[in-house]
Amino acid sequence: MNLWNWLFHRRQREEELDEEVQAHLRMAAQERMEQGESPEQARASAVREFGNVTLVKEVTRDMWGWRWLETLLQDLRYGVRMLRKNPGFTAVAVITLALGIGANTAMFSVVNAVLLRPLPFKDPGRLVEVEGAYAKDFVATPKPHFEWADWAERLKTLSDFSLYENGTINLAGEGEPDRVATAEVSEHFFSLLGINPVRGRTFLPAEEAAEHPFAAIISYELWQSRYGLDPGLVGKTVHLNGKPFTMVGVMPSGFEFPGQTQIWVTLPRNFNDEMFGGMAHMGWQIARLRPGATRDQARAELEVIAYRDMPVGARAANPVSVISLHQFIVGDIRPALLLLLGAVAFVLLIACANVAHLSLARSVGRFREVALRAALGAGRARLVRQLLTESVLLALTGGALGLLTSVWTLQVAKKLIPAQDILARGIKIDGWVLAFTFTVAVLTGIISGLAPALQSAKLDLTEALKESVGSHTGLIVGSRHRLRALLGVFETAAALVLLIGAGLLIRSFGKLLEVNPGFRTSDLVAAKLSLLEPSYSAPEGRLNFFQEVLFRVKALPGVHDAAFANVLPFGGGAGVVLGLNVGRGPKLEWGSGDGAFYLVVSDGYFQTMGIPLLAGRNFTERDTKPSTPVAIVSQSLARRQWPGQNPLGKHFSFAGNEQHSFEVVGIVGDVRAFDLGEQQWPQMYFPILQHPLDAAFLVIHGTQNSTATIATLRGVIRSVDKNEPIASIGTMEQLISQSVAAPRFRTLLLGVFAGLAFLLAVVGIYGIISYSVSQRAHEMGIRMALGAERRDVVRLVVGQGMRLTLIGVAIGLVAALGLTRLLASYLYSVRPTDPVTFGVVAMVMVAVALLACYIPARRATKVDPMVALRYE
Amino acid sequence: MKPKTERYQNRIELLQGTLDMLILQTLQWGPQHGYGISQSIRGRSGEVLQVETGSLYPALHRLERQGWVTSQWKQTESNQRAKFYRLTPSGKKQLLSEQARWAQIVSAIAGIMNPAPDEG
Repeated sequence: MNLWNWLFHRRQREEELDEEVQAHLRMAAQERMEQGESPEQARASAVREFGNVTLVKEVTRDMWGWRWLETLLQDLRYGVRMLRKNPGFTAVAVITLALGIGANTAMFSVVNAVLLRPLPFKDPGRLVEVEGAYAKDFVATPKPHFEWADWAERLKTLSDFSLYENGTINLAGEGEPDRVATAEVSEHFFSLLGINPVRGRTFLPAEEAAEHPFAAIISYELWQSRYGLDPGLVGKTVHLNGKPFTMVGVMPSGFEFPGQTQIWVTLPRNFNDEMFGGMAHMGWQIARLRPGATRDQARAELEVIAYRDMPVGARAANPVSVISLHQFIVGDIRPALLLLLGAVAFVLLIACANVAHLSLARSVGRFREVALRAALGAGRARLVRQLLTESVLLALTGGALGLLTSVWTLQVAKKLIPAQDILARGIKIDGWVLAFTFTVAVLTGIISGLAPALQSAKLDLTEALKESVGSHTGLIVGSRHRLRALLGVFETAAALVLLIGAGLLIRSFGKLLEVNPGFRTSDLVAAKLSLLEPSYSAPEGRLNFFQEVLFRVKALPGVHDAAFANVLPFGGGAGVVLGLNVGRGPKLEWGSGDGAFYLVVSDGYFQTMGIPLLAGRNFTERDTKPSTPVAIVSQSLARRQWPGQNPLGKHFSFAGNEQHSFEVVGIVGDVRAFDLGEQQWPQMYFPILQHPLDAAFLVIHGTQNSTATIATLRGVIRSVDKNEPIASIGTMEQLISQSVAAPRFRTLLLGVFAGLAFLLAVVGIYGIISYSVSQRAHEMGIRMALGAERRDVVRLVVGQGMRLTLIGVAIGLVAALGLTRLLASYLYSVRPTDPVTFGVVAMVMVAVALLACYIPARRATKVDPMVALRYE
Repeated sequence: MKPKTERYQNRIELLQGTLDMLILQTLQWGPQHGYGISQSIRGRSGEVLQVETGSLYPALHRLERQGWVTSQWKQTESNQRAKFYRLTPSGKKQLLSEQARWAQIVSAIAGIMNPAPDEG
C-alpha cells in the first residue's frame, strides 16, 4: 500500500478491522448459543476466547505498513495537544530554543558562505595564489611580468599563471565622471577562472600584448547601473583616465573578482618608469595546480627557482607561499568564524539545559499520566519515544522561529562582517542552512528531551500508583534534583566561559582603541584624488594642481593645515621597499633586507597629521628636483639603520638601485600604517616636489564638522578641475574605524552570544531555585511553624542556589583557563588569562545568581505555615 | 481456570510460516471469514491446532498485502455480515510451493525420527 492510499483509507480500514473483529465475536457467540449457552454467557466466553481485542487490532494494524508513521502521527497529535495545554511552558521553551537555534543558524549561514561553499569558479579546488621571494626571476618586479609567464609553462606543478592588480580608474563619457574599481589582468585570467562573458568576448592575444591597454571588459553590475543593460555598449568606446578603450565584453552577474571589480583591462606591458613606479608594482598571482600536483610540490619547485640566483646566504624577505585561492580570499577570518561557531553552540547547549529542566519540572506534574500509560501496557521505549516526540516538536517549532529571526539577524551580520566581497555576498539561507537548522533542531529536541524522558519512564509503577499526588514527588525528587543541579552547574560554567571570552575581547578592543597611532585622529579629513587625466601626465601639471588645491583649501575658514600624500596610514595600500643600503657592509640585493614603507608627501604633511618632528627639519618648498634628494625617516627606521649614530646628513639608497641616494634631513615619530594592534615596518618620507606621483590623498586638519568640510572640499576641487572626481572621502576616524572592523565584529558577536548565554543561565538558575522552593513549600511551612526565622529560610534557599553557582563558577574558571588560549591571537595587550577579566566576570556572575536566588527565597518566606501544614 | 491452562499446554507451536500455509490450504476449499478459518483449522486438526486471533488476523492482513488473498464483505449462511477471504491465483501458486516445501520438511524430519533399518 502506498502512502497516499494509507492516508486516505486509514479511517475506513480502521472501521473495517473493527467490524471484522465484531463479526468474529458475534459468530463465535452465536455458535455457543446454538450449543445451548445463554446469550450473556456465550458473549462473555466468545470475548474471553478471542483475547485482548485492542492488542489483536494493534498487531493486525502493524501488517498494514507505515506503522511507524502511524505512531509518529499519534505522538505528534498528542504532543501538540500537550503543548497547547501548557501555553506558558511552551512559549518559554520555544523562545529559548528559538534564540539558541536562530543564533546557530545565522552563524552557520556565515560559515557556510565563507568557509564551506566552493568559489564560483571552474574546478576551484585547484586554484592557488602564489606569493613570495622577490628574487630576480620571481614575482615580476622589477622584471616585466610577461617573461615569467614563459617560464611558468615549464613548471611541472602549475599551469596557467595569471597576474592581476587592483586599482581604481576614472570612467568618463556618457554621464558623470565616475571612479570605478578596476583590475589589470594578464593573459589566462578569465580562462583560468573558467568565466565566460555574457556579452562580447574576453581579451584577444593582440590586446594582451599591447604596450598600452585599449580594451576593457565591464561587470554586469556596472553595465546595469550605469548603462541600463544597453546591448549596444559592447564595441563602443569609453574613456578610462582620459584614454579611449573599447568595451569588448560583459561579465556574468555576480562575477566581480578580484574584490569588487567593475572594469577589467589588460595589464600594461611597460611599467611606469618613475623610480617608484616599478617598485610599487606588486600584483597578485593566481595559477592552477596541474592534475595530481600538490601545493607543497608547487612551493618546492618555485623555491628552487626563486633562490637559484640569490647570493649565498641572502634570505628572501618573503618566503614562497602557495595557498589555495579560497584560503587567500577568506584570509584570517577562518579561525575567528570557527571560534564564534563554537561559542554559539555553547549558547544552544545552555538553551537545551534550560528547556531540559523546564521539562523535568513539568514531568513531575505529568507523573500520573505517565504512570497510567505504563500501567495500561505502554512499553518503556514507547513512553520515551512519545516524550521525545514532544520535545523534538518543541525544538522544531523553536527552530522555525529561530530561522525567521536569523533571516533578520543576517541582514545585520552582513553589514558587520568585514567585507569579504564575493564570499560575504553569498550569505543566505540556502538548502544547506535549512538542512543544518533542521538537524540542529532535531538534535536539540533529543538532547533537551532525553534526560527528562528517561527519568519519567523510570518510574516504579506500583509505588507510583499507590501514592497520592501530594506525596509521590518525594520518591523521585531526589534523582531529579540531582539532574537539575547538574544542569544548573553546567549552565553557569558554560555561560562563564563565554562571558570571560567576551570580556577579554572587549578589554582588548578597548586597549586597541586607546593605542596612539602616532598622529592626530580627530579633525582630520582625507580625500583621495587620482590625477590620471592626460592633462596631468606631465609632473608640472600635477604639481600645479597640488599647489592650487592646497592654496584654496588652506584659505577655507577653519582649516589649520592641509597636505598631499601618496598614501595615508589606514588608507589602504602602501609602498614597500625591501632592503636599504646605508653605505656600509655588503650591498643588499633588492628584496633581501628588512622592509620599510615609503610615503611621498607635501611639505605640510607632518604638521597636518600631527606627527612630531623629533630632529632635523621638515621638507620645504626648496626641496625640488634639481636640489639634493632628501628623505625624512621615522624614529624606528633611524635606530634600525644607524644604531647609535646620528642619522642626520647620512645617505642611503634602495637595494638594487644604488645610483639614487637620499640624504636624511629629519627624524619623525613612528605611525601605525594599517593596524592599530601591530607595529609594522618603519616609515620613510620623500618630498612630493622631487617625486610628483600621480595618485594622491589630500589630508586636511580643520575644526568644522566633517559633512560641511566634505561639501566645501568637493566645491574646491571642482573649481580647480571640473573633471577631477574625488575617489573617496572620509574622516581619519572613519579610516581607523574601518581598520578595526574585524576585531569589532568578533567582539560584538561574541559579546552578543555571551550576553545571551548569561541571560539563559540566570533564567535557568532562577528556574531551578524557584521550582525547588515550590516543591519544598510545606517543608518551609513546617520549618517556620517550628520557629525558623525568615532569615533562616532565605539562607537555606539562597545557600542551595549559591552552592550550584559556585561549583559552576569554579568549573567555568578552570575551563576558561584552558579555552581562552584559543583567543590569544585576537587579544591585544591582554593576556588570555587576564586576572582582572576573570575576576570581574566571576563576580558579576555570582552577584546576579545571588539575585536570581534571592527572589524565590523571599517567596519561600511568604509561605503560610498553616496552609502548608493543612496539606500534609 | 484449569481447563484453559491445560489447553494452553496442549497447544502445538506452529512452525514459522506454517500458519500462512494452513490458511491458504483452508481457503482452497472456498472463501471463508476469519472465524470460519480458525474453526476449520481447529476441526480438521482434531481440536489440536488452536489458532490465536492475535496470530490469525495479522496473518490474514499480511497475506492480503502480499496479494495471495483478497477480501470481500458478504453475508454468511446465518445472515451475518462478515469479511470473506479468497485465494488469488498467485496465492494458489504460493500454496503449491508451500505444500512442496512442507512435504520436504516432513520427509526430512521423518528420516531423522524413523531411520530406515540398516542394510547390512
